[in-house]
Amino acid sequence: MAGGGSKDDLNLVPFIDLFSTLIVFLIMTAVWSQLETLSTNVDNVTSSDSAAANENPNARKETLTVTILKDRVEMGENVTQAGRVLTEKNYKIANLSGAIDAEKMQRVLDNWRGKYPEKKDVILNTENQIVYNQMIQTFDLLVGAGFPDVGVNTQ
Amino acid sequence: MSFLKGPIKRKIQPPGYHIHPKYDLKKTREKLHGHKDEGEAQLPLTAMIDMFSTLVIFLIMNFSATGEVFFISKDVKLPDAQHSRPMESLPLISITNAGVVLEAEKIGDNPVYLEEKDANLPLLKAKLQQIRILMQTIRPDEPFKGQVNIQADVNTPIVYVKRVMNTLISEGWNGINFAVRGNGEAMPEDSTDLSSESAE
Repeated sequence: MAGGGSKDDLNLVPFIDLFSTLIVFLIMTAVWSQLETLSTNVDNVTSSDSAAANENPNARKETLTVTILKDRVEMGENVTQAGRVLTEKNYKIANLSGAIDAEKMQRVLDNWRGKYPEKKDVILNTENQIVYNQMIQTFDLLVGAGFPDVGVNTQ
Repeated sequence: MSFLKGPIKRKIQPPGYHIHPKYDLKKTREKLHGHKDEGEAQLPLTAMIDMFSTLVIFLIMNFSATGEVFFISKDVKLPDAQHSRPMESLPLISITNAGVVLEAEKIGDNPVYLEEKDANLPLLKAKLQQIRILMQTIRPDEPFKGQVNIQADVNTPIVYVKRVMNTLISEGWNGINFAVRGNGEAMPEDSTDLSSESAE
């Protein structure tokens, strides 16, 4: 034993000192609240399709938009080529309890993912009255559905 | 009894232990008088070392080298997200119903009804310009990325966030990151690398 035992005893004092220091360090540097971010690049509001369309006016242009309104979410898909509208659809999902209906939105997003496998960008429009949490929930759904390039419209 | 000397055995002797054996606490008496167990009291260390080891393993498993300490106002409750990325150390703007705070310094109010004249946040603009100059002075060779973190309370009307975003865009801060409470399984950095995609 440390401090006066027989010679065969293991000296535990430095061991305990080291452990105590390590514990204090780890507790002081511990991150209890895991902070993360969802990133938007405002340049992407004018998406890569717009750039392609500027270069080649006959290029096929696919625009996916999600608009969060106070009582519903509107999900629009618009495909044009050479000024002609090929597809124009608008899905309306009611927010009955005031919260985003993630299940219904996910179904539309899965449908979009199948139709436009190369598409990465979606424009997210928001009404001024909605709260920040609703925007983040929708943003998170979009990223999770494979649309990481979410452009938040600030108008 | 060395002080008793002489050839005759004395009748009178110094008093000894005289408590009736029925009430005798032999072990206690031995300890008090030091007749037995004279060694030091042993502290059982095994249990303590076991606990220390478990605690160290737990803390090391939860240790995160990222997610630096950020100033989070008590009025701000961050929303939850599942598909977020690790947070980087960038200028932080906090938005609550009460106002806008940049790096723990209040730089604007959030009036109940926003009017046209409230669209701009002049103090935020000035502060952003200062930070931009400072960043370019510190790293003159590095191009300005315009990355900023925004944190807002879950119940903050989005109009206040948009106002800050408009101010940021007007000053060339286009990389806006919304702070959320992640689930600890952040997506890898390159999975949503917007800068590389937009460059293509």
